[in-house]
Amino acid sequence: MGFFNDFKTNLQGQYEECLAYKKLCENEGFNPYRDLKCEDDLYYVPFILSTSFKKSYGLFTKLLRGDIKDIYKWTISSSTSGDPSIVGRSKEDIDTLRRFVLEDEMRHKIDRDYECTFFPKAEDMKSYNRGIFLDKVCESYLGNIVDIYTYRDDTIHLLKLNNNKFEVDVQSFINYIQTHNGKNHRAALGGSTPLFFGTVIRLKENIKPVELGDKSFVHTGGGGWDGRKGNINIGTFIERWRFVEEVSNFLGIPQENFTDTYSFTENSFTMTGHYSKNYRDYLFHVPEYARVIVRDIKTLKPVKEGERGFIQVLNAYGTKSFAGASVLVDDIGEVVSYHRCPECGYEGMVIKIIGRVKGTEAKGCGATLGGDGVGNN
Amino acid sequence: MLEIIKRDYNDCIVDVPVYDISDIQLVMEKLKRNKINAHQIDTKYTIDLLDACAKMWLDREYSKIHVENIAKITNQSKELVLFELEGVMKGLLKENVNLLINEELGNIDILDNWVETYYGMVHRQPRGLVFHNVSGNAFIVIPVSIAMGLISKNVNLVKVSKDEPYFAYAFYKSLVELDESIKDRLSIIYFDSSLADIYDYIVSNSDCVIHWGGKQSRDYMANLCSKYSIHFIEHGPKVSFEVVDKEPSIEDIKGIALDMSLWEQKACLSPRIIFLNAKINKEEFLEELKNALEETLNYLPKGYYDYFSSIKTLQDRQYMILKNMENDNFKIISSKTSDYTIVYSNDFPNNREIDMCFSRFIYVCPYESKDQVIEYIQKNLKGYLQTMGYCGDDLDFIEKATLCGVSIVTMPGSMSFHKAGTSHDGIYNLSELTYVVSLQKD
Repeated sequence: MGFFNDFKTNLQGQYEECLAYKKLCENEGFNPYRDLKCEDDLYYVPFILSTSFKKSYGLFTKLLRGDIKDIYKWTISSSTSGDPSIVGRSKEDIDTLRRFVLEDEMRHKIDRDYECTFFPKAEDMKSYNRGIFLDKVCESYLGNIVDIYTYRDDTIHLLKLNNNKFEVDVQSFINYIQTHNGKNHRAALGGSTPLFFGTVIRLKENIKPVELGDKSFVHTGGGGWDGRKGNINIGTFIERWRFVEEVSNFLGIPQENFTDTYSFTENSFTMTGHYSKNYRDYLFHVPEYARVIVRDIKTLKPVKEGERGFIQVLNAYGTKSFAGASVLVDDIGEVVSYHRCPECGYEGMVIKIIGRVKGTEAKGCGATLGGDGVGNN
Repeated sequence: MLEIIKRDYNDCIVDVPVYDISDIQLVMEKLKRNKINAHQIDTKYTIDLLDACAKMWLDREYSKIHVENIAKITNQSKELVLFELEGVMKGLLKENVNLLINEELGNIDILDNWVETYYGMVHRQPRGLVFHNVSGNAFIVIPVSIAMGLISKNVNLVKVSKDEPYFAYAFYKSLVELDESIKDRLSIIYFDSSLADIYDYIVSNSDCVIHWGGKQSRDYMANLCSKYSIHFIEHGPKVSFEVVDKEPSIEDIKGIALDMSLWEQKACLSPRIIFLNAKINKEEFLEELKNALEETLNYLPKGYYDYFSSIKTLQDRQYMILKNMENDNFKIISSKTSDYTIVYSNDFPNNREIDMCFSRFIYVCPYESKDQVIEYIQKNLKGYLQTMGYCGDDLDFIEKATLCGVSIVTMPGSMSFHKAGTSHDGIYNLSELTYVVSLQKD
């Protein structure tokens, strides 16, 4: 039927089945039966803020479209803030996520004969902090994504679970890069950005750079560009260009062989970007089975090309069990082009991911009754 | 060695000198040596200096660049910053400072001379070296604290906050432009406030500490002052509110909109809750308040330099809608954007909800009896109370509210305009920054 009609059907279903979303629509005077007639109307679709799924808000069950018994599993964010998002997903939603992650992977896949990754084995990631929550399994969203990725049988997982703590196997990484040094093998590297970056920065002080060659490539994912992911904190913000330049120089892999994948727990697809030397950033291709709207922080209207704002994602698929059809996430994006990738010619919207909205609670002589910090003034 | 770091505040790059303990030792030694000299400066000289400085800042050509920078740093529009800045500077004009001294100390001469009284003579002496610890970013406190420190003939060490390190330096430089010797009795510093040894050194070498800001830092300073038996003047954190007891006029409602727009509610005197007499037509009130907020936006727009406060408003608003979706006694009236949010709720707000009330986000709660308001503020806000904007005629209620800790009652629209000589958190700063000495003659 095409994205628009499928999205409309999905949104109407969410409106009928999720009272919370219906209330938000009513509050904004929006009715998807009446007000969603053409693509331009997508700009007026009310959104759920990703923070509304936060555990502390206690609203995630209200953001389901059906009964809890129909949930297959809860997926949770990595909880850098200590307050994870919790999204209930049906078996069908997990299958759709799987389909889109594989599709995204296939589009950007480069053949490899060797591979090492700064992710643990998917099962370790999923089982980490796995629990039963409201009678359903609760697992890491990222773990579920990693579980979908197609790894080689002999892929080296550098992140290992030891006494319920993840540790980087640095020696295996050193062995891997030295084994393939100067051989121009089809060697893949990837995984968690802060761990990858932190390891390279430490190693470059002690060992010589290597030359893995132009058949090697780096594919990161899972965010963490602010230097933090879950309980990992390398103590520094990582500029994307700096990551690429440092790692490229140290490993001898061309910058154009770097890709990164973006997603968030309340979303139903992943989106991969390739690095552009020209833009000194990753250019993310919005797939045809989804829409992204970047909204101005003041007017909340869609921004023009070259401008930044909040990222809203429209999902036509994969949100049958939760109110994820229209989600505004607290990430900042920049529209590179609404039509075409300036580097590779991909036909579709292209964005840059600038990063998570940062800030602190208002401070002044007005009190915040939740407390403030002596170290924060 | 003094290190200069560059900080980026929404594209306003500020050079912040970071002091270490040895830098601070030098500064404090210099200030200490000048205690006697500061005491010998005529009050009139300082009043004239502040008056000239305020006039400089009231010149819009002079203040223009500072307004632009402060706007970015505080995430407020230039229009709002200019309005606030001019309000603060007018308070430093000669006529207002004279009023202030007379109201607070009872006699304009008492700082310079021994004044005759029935038992002999009375005089006010400065505390000596005053440490001003400023946290947060409502810049109103900077000129107020500095002016009080200078008028009271103290030497002053001002620690600025990480959130807003700019204005204190700018104000200091304007004073230096007028009188280089101000450096002998005023220094501005910044250091990382997690460095406990520096705080320890400063407090143990000060004669008085005046603190502006949050609870944890207030408690921390109070403990240090207690440890070293240093006089402690405490300001903040505070919560203010409005009570609409009688039928409000349109002007009253416009005043409320102004109260909640100024300082984007970050100041201690900003209203966070409006208690509305249940006899007043709520629909009309909410509609008029909405109109007034929109009108205020025309001349005091919001600043949108910062992504966080914009999305925070959206997040808090959505949280309230979803949390109350089955509550018939709840309503949200808001702009489509983050401009303003009015939460109407029969339930009075809890702490988390009060913490949402920044950036033109306010609770309106009806009450049947004023005792409900008293009971609520007594139970939930005791120790945090400051300004009450009051639309009504009930002196008994004012008596009860002030017994709970409200320290100043104003008309709606005047919550940010405390007149010279009014109570500041229940005290007079000039009085606290000095001590009374008596000479009994017989």
